[in-house]
Amino acid sequence: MQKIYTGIQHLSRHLVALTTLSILALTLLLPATVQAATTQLQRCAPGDLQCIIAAGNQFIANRQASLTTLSGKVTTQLNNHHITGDQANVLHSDVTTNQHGLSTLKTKLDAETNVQAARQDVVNIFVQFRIYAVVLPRDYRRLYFDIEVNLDARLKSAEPRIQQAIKHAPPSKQAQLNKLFNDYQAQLAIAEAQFDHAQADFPKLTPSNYNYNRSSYLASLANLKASEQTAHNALVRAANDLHQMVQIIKASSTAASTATS
Amino acid sequence: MNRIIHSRQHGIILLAIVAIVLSLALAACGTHASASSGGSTPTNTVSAQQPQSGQPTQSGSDSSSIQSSDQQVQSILKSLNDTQNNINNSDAAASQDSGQQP
Repeated sequence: MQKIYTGIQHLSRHLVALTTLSILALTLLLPATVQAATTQLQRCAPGDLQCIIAAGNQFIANRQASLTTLSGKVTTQLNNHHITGDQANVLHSDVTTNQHGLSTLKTKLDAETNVQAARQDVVNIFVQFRIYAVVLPRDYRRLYFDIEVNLDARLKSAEPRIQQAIKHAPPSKQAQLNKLFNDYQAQLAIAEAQFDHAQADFPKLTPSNYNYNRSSYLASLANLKASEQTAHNALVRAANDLHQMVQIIKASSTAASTATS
Repeated sequence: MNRIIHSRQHGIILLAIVAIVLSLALAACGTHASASSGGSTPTNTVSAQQPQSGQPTQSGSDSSSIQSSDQQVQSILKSLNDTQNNINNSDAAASQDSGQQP
């Protein structure tokens, strides 16, 4: 029995060691894969046209796949009714435009017979589209912004019903509930003020500004991040206020029904 | 030897816990079954809990309506957190494009 117990102890030590080694190996391998993709073009011989075309096609395929992932996430949010059809259309349309642009560039690249022209096509994958640098970070932020706007609208539309529920709550709870409701309204006002700032920043986040007006691009991005974060904090606080109000009202109605039965 | 005794004791305690959980689950099933056989539907249960005379019914509907809003809001907050993770991932991948200057 003692031997079996010792055996199990040894086995679990081996398992821990094996798991640790696997995690280490994965951590080392993942960045290596990314590195391999980006250096593929550099490893092509100066006159190797097919190598340049293959590298460019790989860059395009990666970007097409990332855009498809974004499109799927937009659809999920639409299906969950967290964004409207119009908001989803804006994002889907941007994905489609970029995917069509990349497909056209791929057709051009595949038909190249000149090394220099092929290299320029590959450079254009980066410079013209900026899928990873501009499009995906901007569009995921737009999706986040759209969810925030809808959350705010939902919270705002609940105000009259909250007021009615407070009116019917026991007098001993009214002061506490009104305090929470005042904060709830104040937080929604803070969030809404940020939405106008964010709306103004989105149009400045373009590949062109990224390429030729980097400081303006970075300033707009920083402003957008700050606006979305402030709005997020305010919405979370309003949601917490709502949750607390619901708990108080629920507890009061449970106590009232227990007293009457 | 002590370890063997300890492991047996643990086994007995575990069996006792499983027996308690099983008996609780069976008791719950029994209560549910007797409630169903009494002919009361879930709708009836809700109506039985509605406010008595003198208390406005609007209060109950407002209360349940904001409870439902609260649940929806919690679900949207979760979506926001998921989307925040997507933003973080896309920011992390942005360097893949920054190598080439026009």
